[in-house]
Amino acid sequence: MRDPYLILAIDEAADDAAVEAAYLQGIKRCPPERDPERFEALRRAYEALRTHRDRIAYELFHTDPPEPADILDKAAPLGAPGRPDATLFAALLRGDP
Amino acid sequence: MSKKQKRRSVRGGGRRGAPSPDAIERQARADLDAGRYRDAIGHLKELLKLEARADWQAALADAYAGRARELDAKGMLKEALVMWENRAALGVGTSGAMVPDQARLLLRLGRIEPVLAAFAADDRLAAADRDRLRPVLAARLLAGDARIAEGLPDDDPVRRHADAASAALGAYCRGDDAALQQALAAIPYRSPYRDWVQLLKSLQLAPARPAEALALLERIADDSAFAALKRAARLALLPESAFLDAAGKVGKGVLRFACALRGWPPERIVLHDELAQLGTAPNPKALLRLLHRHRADLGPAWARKQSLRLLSQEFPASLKWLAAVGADRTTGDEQRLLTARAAELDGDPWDLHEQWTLYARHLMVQRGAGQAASADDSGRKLRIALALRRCASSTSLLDDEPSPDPEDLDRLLAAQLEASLDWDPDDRNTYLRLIDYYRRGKLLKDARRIQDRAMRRWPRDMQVLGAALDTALGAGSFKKAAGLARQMLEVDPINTDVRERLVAAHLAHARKQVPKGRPDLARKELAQAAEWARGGQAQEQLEITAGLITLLEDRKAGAEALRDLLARLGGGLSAQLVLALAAEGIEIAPSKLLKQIDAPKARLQTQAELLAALSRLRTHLDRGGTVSRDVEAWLAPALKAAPWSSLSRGETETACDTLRRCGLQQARLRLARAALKRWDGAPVFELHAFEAKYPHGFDGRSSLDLYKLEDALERARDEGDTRTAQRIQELLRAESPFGGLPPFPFPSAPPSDLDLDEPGPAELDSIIALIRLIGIERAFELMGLPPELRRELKAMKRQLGEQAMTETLIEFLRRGADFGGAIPDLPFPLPPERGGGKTSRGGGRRRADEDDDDLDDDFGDQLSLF
Repeated sequence: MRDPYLILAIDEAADDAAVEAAYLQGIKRCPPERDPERFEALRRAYEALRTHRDRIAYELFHTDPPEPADILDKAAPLGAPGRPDATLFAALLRGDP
Repeated sequence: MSKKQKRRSVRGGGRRGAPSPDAIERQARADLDAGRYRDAIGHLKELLKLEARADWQAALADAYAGRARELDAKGMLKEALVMWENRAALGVGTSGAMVPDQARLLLRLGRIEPVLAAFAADDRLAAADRDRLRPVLAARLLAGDARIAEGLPDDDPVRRHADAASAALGAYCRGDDAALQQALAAIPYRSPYRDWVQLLKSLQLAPARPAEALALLERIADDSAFAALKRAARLALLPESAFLDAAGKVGKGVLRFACALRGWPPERIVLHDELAQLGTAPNPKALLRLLHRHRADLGPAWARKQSLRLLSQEFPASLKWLAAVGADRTTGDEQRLLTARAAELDGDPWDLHEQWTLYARHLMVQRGAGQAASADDSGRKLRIALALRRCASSTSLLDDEPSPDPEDLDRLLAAQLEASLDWDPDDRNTYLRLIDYYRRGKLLKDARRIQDRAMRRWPRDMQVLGAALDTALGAGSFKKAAGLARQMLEVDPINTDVRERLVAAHLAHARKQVPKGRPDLARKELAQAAEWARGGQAQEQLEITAGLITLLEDRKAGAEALRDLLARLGGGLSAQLVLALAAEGIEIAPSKLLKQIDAPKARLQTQAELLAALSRLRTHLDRGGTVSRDVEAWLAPALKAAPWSSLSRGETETACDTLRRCGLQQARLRLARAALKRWDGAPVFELHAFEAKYPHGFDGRSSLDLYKLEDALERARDEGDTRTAQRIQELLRAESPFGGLPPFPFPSAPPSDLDLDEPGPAELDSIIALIRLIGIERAFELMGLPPELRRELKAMKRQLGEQAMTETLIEFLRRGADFGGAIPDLPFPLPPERGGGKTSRGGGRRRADEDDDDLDDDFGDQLSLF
């Protein structure tokens, strides 16, 4: 399971209201019809962290190793979708490997 | 210098036995047709040495072209080019003609001039080939190769549309969507830049409308000059997990392009490359090293938490990894947490209970040491509560009936769960779970204690009120139940389920008043029930109860009312059954009641009557009712003469199940046996027959029954009837010596003709030596034990381990010899398992060390049973 804090983009001190707000914002951005996988991840993350009790249970009992995507998101978070520059286009148009 | 060995030729005899030119040609053409270009080239060269025939040259040209394409596909571009050059050197067809694939290859290798020269010469490229090559030139031109534009005529579409295509690229990269649209509009549909237009449109749409973007990409062919861009754009549109999976399988250029589209910063790409080197299932130690190396970027606290998670799987050996990667050693807190987490992996509920309890106690001590007033005290209390609840929540020990022994693990867990409420009194689910657990075991005092606490906290909560209602009904406190149901209806006035339960509670209370000689109170209850009764069935029950009360007060009037009701209900046995079941509640035997009201003796004569009666029984059971011995005795003759053979297989299965629920085992056995005559060996009926024959567990009467059940299990599996297979399996498990049910006599004792008894001491020693020498299984095989018994012994061996099993068996054989030399039938007594009986509940019973010493004491008793 992905780190639910990273999925919801909240820090570990977030309270119930912050968790809910992040969830609602997330599903607004990624509704199920547009991005079902992301929506499902958001839903799972919200269920894992909904209450203070849930958050502590996650901290105590969750033992899965971190996913590569978690490490990437934590160390070098994604920016907004970008546009490749002309050099990147040229490389592929030339057939560079 | 080539390292290949030249084939030796035999001097003077080289030509002797050589194939004829016709044979070589046949072989060459076969190779060509089969795509074995390399062999075809060899053969055709050989032929051309004999004679320079035009058709052979043409065939060789084809073989060169095929081989060139083959090498091109393998990425051996230079080798492929040599093949094209060889082909051109043959001078076949139009002098110097260039195949588009050759031109494409030249462009990929950056050798533009020959292609442009071919474009300039009218006779070297066909018009259609030129059209196919133009997108390749266009892509090359967009990549910034100015020689293309210089080498093409002004009116060539590659040049004519180049400015618009280039402007579109600039506009896209700048983020100027209006300019992009304008530039793309200037490129006509039949342009070498057509795929380029689709691509840029797709990229523009991608962030907001990925599905439409993907559809546009699909219009670009996979062998297009812009296919690499298409691949990159598609990759960028994948969901994150799929993207990470696919990222390792594409070239660097494609990945960087896709990463740029997804908004990956450069440091993320570097870290991704580093993670990719660890493989798809990274070694925890290697991952720990990576986390430690990047701890500053990851955040030290996050990196530490994840590092501890990595230690869980191989704890405590993994503790030394921390030192190996240069991380801090674990603190006392961390070690305790890791120990508790490690207990979860072992799967022993006792250890799990102990370790989480120790962790909770550690937190309690910490809290007691002056930290109670800290800001995070609520968090600390929650941690304690959750640690106390952990074993109960991660096992199913509380899902069954409570054990009678308060020292058993389920009882300890229930107590611990209750203690956790002192630390976290707001967890409603814990109250509900405890209430349910205690109610299941009829520990109503305990259930009420928890329920009272819950009701003080949530007086209007439907789930809490519902649990209290169940407890009150379970205890026969119908008045209280009615009060609770009324409270629930105040909260949720249209809850039909509660309404029905309220009516049922009033009716039950009314019936309770009748034997006490208080018909007045019973009528009062009926009046209250009438206020809430909706629907035919509730009204029917009201009328029956009212009729029964009247019968007790005024026999004539009551009998008349009940006869009238009986007629309205159809008058058959099913209608009488309704009365009989209702009369049970006021302690009137059915036969007496029916005699009092002069009801005719009813029979189950038709299929419809039989189905109606079974349906009435099911409804009664669904409402929580039971079938008394009186009703059973009254019903038995009718069931015996019922037309069971008129039922379909599905109806028969349902009927068996209904009879099981009623506890009408004789009728069920008869029905199952009759069904087995109609559907020979049907597993579900074998199961019903067995269960009905042995309602209190298998008593060893007939091992044939057990064999039949085993066969039924196999057949159910073969037929894909998983439900029946599972039920039989559970039954067999419960009947096994490990299931906690009567240990003796053992289920599948060997057939009586098995000659195991009374070997002399020498024979006994031989048997023991044989067992030690070749192992239990092989020894039993040689001794000719039946397969069923061998299977059981195998199961025992799995459970105990071979060594323990061997020693126990040998000891038992020796003791058997001491007891007058009689060797008892196998299976033999076994050392008790840890946690005693309830193996299906994760061994949640008494601890093994308490039981181990009992083996010797029990031994004589067990032997005496033989």
